Formats: sequence, structure tokens, C-alpha cells
Amino acid sequence: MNSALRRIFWGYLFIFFRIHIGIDLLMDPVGYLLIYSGCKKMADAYPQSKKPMAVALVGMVVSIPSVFVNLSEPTLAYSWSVYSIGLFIIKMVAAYYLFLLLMEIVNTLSEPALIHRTRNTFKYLIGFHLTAFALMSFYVNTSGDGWIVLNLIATIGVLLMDILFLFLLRAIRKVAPDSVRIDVTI
Amino acid sequence: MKERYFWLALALIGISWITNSVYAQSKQLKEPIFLDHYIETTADDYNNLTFYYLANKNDQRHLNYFTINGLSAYAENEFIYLPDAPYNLQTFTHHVLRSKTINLSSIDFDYHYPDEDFIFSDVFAVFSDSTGIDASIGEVVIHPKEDNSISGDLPLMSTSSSMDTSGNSNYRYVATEPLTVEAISYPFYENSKEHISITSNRSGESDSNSTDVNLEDIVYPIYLDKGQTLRINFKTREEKSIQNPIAFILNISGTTEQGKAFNTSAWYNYQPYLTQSDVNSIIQAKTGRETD
Repeated sequence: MNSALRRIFWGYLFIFFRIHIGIDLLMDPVGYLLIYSGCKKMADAYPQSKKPMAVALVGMVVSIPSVFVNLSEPTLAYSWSVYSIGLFIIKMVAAYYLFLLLMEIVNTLSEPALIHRTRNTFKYLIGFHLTAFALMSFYVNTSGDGWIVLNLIATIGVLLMDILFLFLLRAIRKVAPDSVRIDVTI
Repeated sequence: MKERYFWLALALIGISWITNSVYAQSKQLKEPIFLDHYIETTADDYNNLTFYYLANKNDQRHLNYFTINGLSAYAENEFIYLPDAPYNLQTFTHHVLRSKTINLSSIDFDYHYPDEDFIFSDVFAVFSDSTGIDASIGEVVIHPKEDNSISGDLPLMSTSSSMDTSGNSNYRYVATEPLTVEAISYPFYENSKEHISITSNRSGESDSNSTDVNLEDIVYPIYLDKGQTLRINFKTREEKSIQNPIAFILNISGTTEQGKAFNTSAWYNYQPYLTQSDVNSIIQAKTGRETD
């Protein structure tokens, strides 16, 4: 399971970081592929991994254009900003289902501190992402310094939450056994 | 359990997105709107003409050139490298104020309008994506070139002038020979009296003890001895902001004691500074649409 979690770790990193030199070097489709294969490994033991798998599959296909188009350029046409929003939603949904999976894993490992930490990170990450997403919907009708500051805070908050998520993954990996445990009840 | 709330939150935010987008879409201009300009200038090569227009915030097009009454007018010395997005003088909620300055030297006045005024109220503006729009821009009057062939000292000579972009300016003239000022005139634009106050005072060689007199109240003729000064002050009234770019020439005319007629000009120039409510009323007036 260690290697499965490692793939999910790298997968998520690929998705939310973007280094665009000609093409996006940290390619989103590769990220989603890593998440998909990581979840697949755990599919038998942890049924919750089916949902992230499905989302990762969708994300893989949908995010292919983002490899070639630099979405952070401000002069892009309106349709590309709609596409960016779509990618953001998929990332949020993927994060949500991954969290459900992590909760399941962490519950079987029975480490109370870890369970607590996972639940908290879960709350904050989803909370920040949803808030940022809600704020984003108003930007097209607002102007002025106050809103620019809000945008900045929301963006930094989301970034911080993503980093915390990666740390959490790393912590779970340390405690997780090497092989996937299958519960068999007779 | 949490899953239902998550999707519910996403759905609500989605509705917010759709509502905001529809609202923003309703505020978009079909094409850029030009302000009403009231400009008077001369056809000299050193003069520029600046046109101001409102565009949608996400309109990335540059304004390339104008065609006025069949003549093309360009801005010279345009940078070879244009930045991606055009420069915004002011930014509002959904729109931006931009300007385009053309050099009068790009129009061949000697050929087309050598002796008469060139007056126009509409231009054809061409943008960087090759689309063009007909725009009414108020009224622009271009007089023939100033006659700079007079050498030597002018009878009434300008010794200092100061100007700021809000239209406040001062001119100081000194009489180099005894003369009489017979008239001070300027084109009378709608509402200009409400917004601009023009005063003048006459003084001796020292600049003290003289009072500003409103132009309307001046009693002509004004007699100036050699060395006496005349000042003209333009002040834009603060209480009512002007939504239009205004530029005109104030003409001081008279005769010297020797019998020679003279003409001196003072220039008034105002660059508009708009508020959001100004923008709303301009858009409503020009497109007949309801705005917030």
C-alpha cells in the first residue's frame, strides 16, 4: 500500500502544481493517471477507492488540453476560463473522494491521532476550496482593491491546504503496512 | 453523510456562477462607446487629437487608426512592440476607459483643407482585429494652421503659462507696446459655463493689487501700456465633474496703438476623469439601455 499511496502523492502534486515552459511540465493527465493506478492497487481492500478512480479517469481525459495551453495567462479567451473552472471542480471532487478513501484507510490503521488529523485536514481543505470557488463566482462583477486582496488570500489558502494534504499523505504512508490488508471474515 | 452536503454546496456555488455570469453578460457593451468630445484646435503638425472611449473590460483589442471624412489619421511613433492588453486609463466594474491619440501631422491639411475649418462629428474607428465601428464623438473643429510667419515680438506676448490635466491653467501676457484689447472670445459649449470659470486681471509691472474679473463682466476696450500684464485664468469648477473631453482656444484680439491688429490665443484642455455613475449614465445615454 505504501507504493499505492506514493503514487497518489505524486499524482496530486502533478495536478495542483503547474510549471509551464512551452508545455505544462507537471502534466495533469499524468497526475490523474498516477492517482488512478494508486487507487486501483487498493481497490480490493478499500472499496472507497472506486470513486477516486472514476474521477481520476474523467480528469485524465478532460485535462489533456491543459498540457498545451498555459491557463494562467491573463489574455486568454473567455472559453478557456470556463475550462479552468471545470478543471478546478474536477480537482476538488477528486480531493473529496480521495479524502473519503483516506478516512477509510486511517480507520483501519487505528491510530487516533492520525484519524483526527485526517478529519481536520479534510474539513479545512474542502472548506477552503469551496470558499475560494464561491468567491471566484463573484469576481466577474466586482472590482477594486478589496476584492483583489480577497482573491489573493483565497488563492494562498487553497495552496496551503494542498500542501497540508500532501504532508498528510506522507504521514499516512509512514504508518501504512507494505502490503494491502484484506479483511476476510469467515 | 457528508457527501450529500458536498454536492449540495457545489450545486449552490454553481448556481451562483451562472447567475453572476448572466448578470455580467448583460452589462457587456456590443461595441466600444466614444465620449462626446468638444475640441477645437489648429492643424499644426505639433498638435495632437486624443479620443476617449469606453470598452468592455475583457476587450483586448487595440485601436489602430481612424478614418475621418475619408481621411486616415494615425498615431505616429507607435511602439513596434505592443503590449498584450491595451492600456486602461481608468477601470470600472465591467468597463474600462481608454484613449487613442493621433498626430495631426498624419493628415495632409495643406491638400484637403488649406483655408477652411475641418469640422466633424463622426469617425470610423478601426481596431486591431480589423473590425471598425462608426462612432459619434461630439464635435471637433480644426482651424487652419497658425500663421507663424510673423517675426519679432508679438504685440501681446505670452510670458508664462501653466497647465494641468484637470483644465486649470494660467496665462500671463505682457504688452510689448501700448495696445488696446477689444475682445476676448471663446467658443461657447453647452454647459461649459457651469463647469469652467474664466477670469482675467490686468496689472502693472508688479503683480499685486489686481482683482480677477469674470470674462462676462469685462468692460472693453482694455488699454495696456507697454510693460503691463494681462492674465487669463481657467479654473474647472470642482462641484460638477465634466464627463467630456473639452479643448478650445480662447482668442484675445485687439489693435496696437500703431493701428496693427493682433491676435493671441490661450488654450484650455481638459482630460476627463469619470466615476462609475458617470460611466453608467454615459452608457445609458449612448445605448439607451438600463444600467445599475
